[in-house]
Amino acid sequence: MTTRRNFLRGIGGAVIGLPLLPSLRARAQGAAPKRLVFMYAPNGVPVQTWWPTPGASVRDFTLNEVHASLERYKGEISFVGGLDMAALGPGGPHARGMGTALTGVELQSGTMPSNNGQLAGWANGSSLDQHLVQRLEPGTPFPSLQLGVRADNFRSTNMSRLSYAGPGQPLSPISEPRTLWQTLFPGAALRPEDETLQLRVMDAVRAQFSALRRQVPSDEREVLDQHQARVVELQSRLAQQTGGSGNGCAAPTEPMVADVNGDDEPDVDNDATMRRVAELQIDMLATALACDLTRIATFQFSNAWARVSYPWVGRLATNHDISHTGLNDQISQEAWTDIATYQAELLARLVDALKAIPEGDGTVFDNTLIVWLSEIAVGNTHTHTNMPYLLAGDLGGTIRKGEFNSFSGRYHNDLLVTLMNAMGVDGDRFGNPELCQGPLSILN
Amino acid sequence: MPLRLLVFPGLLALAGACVPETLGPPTPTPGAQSASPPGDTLDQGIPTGPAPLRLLTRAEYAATVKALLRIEDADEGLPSENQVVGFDNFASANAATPTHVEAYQRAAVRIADHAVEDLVGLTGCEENADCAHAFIADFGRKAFRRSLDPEEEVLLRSVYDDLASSQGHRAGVVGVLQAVLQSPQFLYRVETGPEEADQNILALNGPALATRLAYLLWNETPDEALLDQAEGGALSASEGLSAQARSMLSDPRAREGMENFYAQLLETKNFDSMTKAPQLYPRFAPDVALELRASLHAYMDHVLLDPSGGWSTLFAGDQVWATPRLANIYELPTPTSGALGPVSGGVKRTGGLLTQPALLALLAKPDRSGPIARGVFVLERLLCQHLQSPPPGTPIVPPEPVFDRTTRERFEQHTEDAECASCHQYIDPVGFLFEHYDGMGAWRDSENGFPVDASGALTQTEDPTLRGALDGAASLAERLSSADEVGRCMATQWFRYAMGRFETRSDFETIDAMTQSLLATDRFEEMLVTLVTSTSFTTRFSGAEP
Repeated sequence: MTTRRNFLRGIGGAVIGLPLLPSLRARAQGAAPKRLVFMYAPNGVPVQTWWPTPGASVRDFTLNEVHASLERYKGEISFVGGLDMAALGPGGPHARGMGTALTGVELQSGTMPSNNGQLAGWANGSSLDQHLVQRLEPGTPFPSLQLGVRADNFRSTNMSRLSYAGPGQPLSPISEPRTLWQTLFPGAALRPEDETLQLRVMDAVRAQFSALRRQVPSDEREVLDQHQARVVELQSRLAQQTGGSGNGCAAPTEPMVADVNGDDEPDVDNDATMRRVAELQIDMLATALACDLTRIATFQFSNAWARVSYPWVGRLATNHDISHTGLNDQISQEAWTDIATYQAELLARLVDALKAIPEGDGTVFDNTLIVWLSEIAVGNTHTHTNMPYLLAGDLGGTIRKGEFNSFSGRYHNDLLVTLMNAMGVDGDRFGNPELCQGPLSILN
Repeated sequence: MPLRLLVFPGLLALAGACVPETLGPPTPTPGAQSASPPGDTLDQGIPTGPAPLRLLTRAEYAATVKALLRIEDADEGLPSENQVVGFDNFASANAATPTHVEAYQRAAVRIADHAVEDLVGLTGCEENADCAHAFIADFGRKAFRRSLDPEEEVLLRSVYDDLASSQGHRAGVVGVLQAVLQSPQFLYRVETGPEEADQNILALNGPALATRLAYLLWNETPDEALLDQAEGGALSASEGLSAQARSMLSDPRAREGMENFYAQLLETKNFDSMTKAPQLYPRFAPDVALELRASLHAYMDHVLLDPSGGWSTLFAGDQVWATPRLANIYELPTPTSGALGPVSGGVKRTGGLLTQPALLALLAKPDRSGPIARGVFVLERLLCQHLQSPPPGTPIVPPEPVFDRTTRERFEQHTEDAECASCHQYIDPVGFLFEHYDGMGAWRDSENGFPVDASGALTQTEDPTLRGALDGAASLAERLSSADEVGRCMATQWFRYAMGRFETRSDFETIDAMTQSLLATDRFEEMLVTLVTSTSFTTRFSGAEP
């Protein structure tokens, strides 16, 4: 039988943690943690090959070409159709979609040009992942994770950010596997003297913030206060890490990414290494969830600029250009399908990984929900109607699985409300209240 | 002074909603909740520009740690900056997130461990408390870019004393280094100075000015000599400041300062992820992209700092910096050095920046040239125009591509559709001027068997005499080279980069003076001296009472 420990050794390498794993502790306390992962891919989907064919009942649908890799999990994945994104406010359609995808509100006015030149600022509210962190206070070493593959490719603007700690407060995803690895797996537990040292240092850092705060004009204090709050969070995490057991989990071996252009640096933002980087990031995400390092994560594949290209598909153009092509352009639609198929395989990889880790009587996947989303519906029309959503998992039986439901006339805010409820936070509104009717009828 | 809005009512009537305008501070939405830090709000008649707290960028952090401790690549693991109009240093877009704070802590641990490998070399004295206390004052001054105040010295000494007493001298020094490297006084550019009566204006003190100078001109922290000058009052008068700036601009470190600017203006980080379709561009390889970046950087170094460079050479001359391999790809003479060196590009490369192979390759797609990217580059980065697109809700349905025509013919469909035409009528005629350069930036006379048509026009300029038909990139370069508004745009870009914010009305005088300086002397150095001696640079709006 595959034990959790064997699994972790299998994907990660040497096990350096202690026998009592965090989620085993959670089980001993009677409840497996609920986990929510958002997976983003840019520029909509190839509609002809992405959406399943509906059947006689909501459970009787047929998966389309893009999702062949998920056929074995068909009973555990759901599609939610018919939802619109209001995507109001300033900015181009891609920027508006990115801004509202997880926040349910519009972008602030601002000075960042979208790809079509329209100006906007950052999203004007917290994203659902951060709202859940604030409401649930999960107490994990990392309240949430933002990670990605080439999330800062081309330009880092409101077209490149999904998670917001609050209005105008975008969170940067980590796209470098080595940085993610160093963040999640700092190594063996700190020696007691290092713990003493680092915590003493953090006290001094906080004192330095307090001293500076008294010297600057009041309009600069907000910046310092926010930064200081992060320092306090870090200090408490360091104290956990140094509690004598490290994070109690397996550290994968150091992730290596090739140097493609010969400048002696790993190329993490390059077509040639993209697949490798994606696999490393997915695997570390799976480990982080399994080890209860975090329960809430966003995984961002590139960004809405989508200047990445896929050397193995039939047409070497950028993701963005391919997404722009018309439905009758057969060569480009095939390339678009190949791209989406590859991205669906990343989802399958995460499902595979989570299903391989035992938890309670089942696996970690049983207590997880993965939500697949994009920032527009269709690349060549830039519409926000019938947005593509795929849900994998049922969050411990909280959400109905294996169904293809359609909710015409509802906004995606109601999906965000549904997910919020599924994670245990009550309420019938999220984001712009005028766009909300309440949770979708997919909750058990 | 009026806002510099470029609006052309006559053309708007023809074109629908696309409004070319200068990009500047947004008008705040009344009642909108905004958590943006100060700096991007339109000034309400304030007497001098705001100075929001600026977090060190990764490039500044790395250069600073290298200068302080001789440790390279210290910025590893720090998150990417958010960019505003291409620049990575806008205070309003870059606040510290949890990822930043994690990364700063990891970096501080790593840097401190590395730095104490040669403890005596680091501190310059024996391993005792007196030595450590002297080190705190000395290192603290370099790291905070000013002398420590007594409370700060007490705080850092207590870190040392606590840790040294329990774990020894080395641990004490490690603790001090970690504390300094995570402190806001190090991570932010904190600017203070005496307040002028009743005006909410601070005249920046010497160290604050030295810091602005060093990061602008050297992309680096002020060194000890500069701090000595600053704390000795040498920067308090305009003559002292201009003399210091000239001296810094003639220092080799000025290359780093110039590079950090133009690399962002031209977005040359994107050479790292450049791809070209192998069946179309078989001579491309990822390391060719690195040579291209080196070529473009060498050209810009020449324009900005070489005595034979200067403003007028940005849009003239056929010099290209080539490696033997680039010379082969682009049919250029082989550089005599056998390594990267200047060669004459001949008649196909007479447009200065606009005919640089590397720029043209960068402003192109993996599988074709880039008329839109190239047109937008000229309008946005060189003319500081911004195209305000149709209002949200306008459907954007690009035409089906056809592969048996030229790129130009495919893109001309933009202007057949009224909605697309509202913006593309301004962009495409500029972008088409570059059609002799393919997706690699190599010259072509024909495409898909059809002759290349590189005719086009400049249609939107402040100065009406600049408008009109053109043919080819070199003709555009010639037209731009005589344009005052191109000079003003360059001054504006430098201003934004230098200040990490948009200009406000109170800064227009500074930008006017910078423009005059650039056009009159042809030297970027003189434009920068004008900037650093301006009110915008030497004072700041102090906001509310501390």
